[in-house]
Amino acid sequence: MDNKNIMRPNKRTLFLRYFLPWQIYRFIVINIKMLRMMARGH
Amino acid sequence: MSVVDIVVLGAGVSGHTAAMYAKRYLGKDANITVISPEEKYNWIPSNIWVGVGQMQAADVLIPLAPVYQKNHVTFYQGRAIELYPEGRLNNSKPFVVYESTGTGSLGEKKEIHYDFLINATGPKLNFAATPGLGPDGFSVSVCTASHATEAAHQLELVIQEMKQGKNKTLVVGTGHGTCTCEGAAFEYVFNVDTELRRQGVRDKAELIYMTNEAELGDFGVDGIQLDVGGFITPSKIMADSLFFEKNIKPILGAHPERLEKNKVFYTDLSGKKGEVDFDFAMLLPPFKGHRLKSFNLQSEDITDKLFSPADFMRVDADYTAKEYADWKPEDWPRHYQSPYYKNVFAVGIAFAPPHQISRPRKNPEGVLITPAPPRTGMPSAIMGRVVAENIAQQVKTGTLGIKTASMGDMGAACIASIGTGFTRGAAVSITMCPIVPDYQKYPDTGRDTKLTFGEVGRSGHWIKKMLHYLFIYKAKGSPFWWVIPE
Repeated sequence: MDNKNIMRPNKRTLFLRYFLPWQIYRFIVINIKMLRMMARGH
Repeated sequence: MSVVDIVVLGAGVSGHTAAMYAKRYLGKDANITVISPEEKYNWIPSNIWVGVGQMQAADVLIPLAPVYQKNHVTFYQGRAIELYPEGRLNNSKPFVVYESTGTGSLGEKKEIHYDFLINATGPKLNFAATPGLGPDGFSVSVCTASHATEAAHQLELVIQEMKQGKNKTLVVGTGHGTCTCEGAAFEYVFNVDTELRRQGVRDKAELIYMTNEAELGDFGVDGIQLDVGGFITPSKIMADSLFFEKNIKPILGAHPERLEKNKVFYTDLSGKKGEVDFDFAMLLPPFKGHRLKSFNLQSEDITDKLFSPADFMRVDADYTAKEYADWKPEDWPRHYQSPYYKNVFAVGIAFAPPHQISRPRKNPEGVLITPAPPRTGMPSAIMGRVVAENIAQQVKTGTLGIKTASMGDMGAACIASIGTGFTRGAAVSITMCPIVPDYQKYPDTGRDTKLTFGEVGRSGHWIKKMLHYLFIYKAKGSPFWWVIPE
């Protein structure tokens, strides 16, 4: 693949993917989003 | 009210869910019988971790007999082979014939009468569709716990050789142009990548992802328009990025034609022929259904009426042949009820889908290379519960319940692991609603962008791990199991 045509994560994104406080927050957010989706779609 | 007999064929995600809910809703008003060829329930999504040696088979398997005994469900280990939906001349109560697969009674045939039948027989792993594919050929699979255990063993052997300085090529993906479960192949290739990095041999490996998807991120659902970082972003962009980042080489629109020892021959959507030499290959098989030889009251064979050519059971879907542009969410079944016998239902992989979800594509030679629609995991469990609920209502009130579980309405969450470990693990968390795009309701994207999103991160791994333990707990029928949503 030609890297000119590929979206790549920057340093901030790579850091946040594994940064504990941010990931705890995302864990909560994703769970809420999944529950919303279940409430709507089930 | 007399006690009704509900027979469930299969104890996978959909069948087990249906049986447990039917018993919960009906209690002593129903005799629930489950017939499954396997003595253990397999939480299949975690087979990915077994396949890289990060879990053992025992972690994803649950013996069924104690669970059913505790919940007052009768369990027979066997494979359903014949269906008599009108019974016999001397006894009009419908029944199925099954062949025992249990030790001590292997091969014995028995009849089980039913008032309601839920067909949840799951997939037949059709390795024969591609010569040389599968554990009896030249590749491994992660479709069952034992397959995944063997995959982990083969992977470890290759890793040991890499540790001695040898370069190796590993191919992961789909073993036929019409496979489904691209999400599982996607997860596995990233878990292999993580395992190679963990063992310090990633630089010795060329990792190839061979898929029947025309573009990465199709996942058999025609791709997903995700709400990411303030943009509506095609899943292709996200998937391309991940493959590039991890240096995994994709071969797209591929239809493996045959495998030989350490070599896969394929054609692709352009009609080009290619071959790849490999040292390790995990290629998923296409699925067929389990065709039950079916007979009416006059003992006439009605199998072709009840089952599709691919051996899936026809239900309340619109099977009229249509062009891709004319496909609609309404084509998809809502109640999973046989159009011919109102007391027969098919859920999970067992029901015949009306068509694919992804755009159908053929190469210049006319070979169909298109993912089959996924209907495993979350949707499959919801179908099982809704069918159990509707049957329970019919038993209680005389009128079949009207709850629906159409893939054109319901959403699904897909947590695709891209590595294990509390600190090293990560996953792509994706939700989509609905599963089948609805371009009338959502003209731009086909799905509700408020409920369709995706992101990569460590939190996804925690969610996947949490779901593993929650669903194992639920499958065991442990106290308050029904509180856990499907």
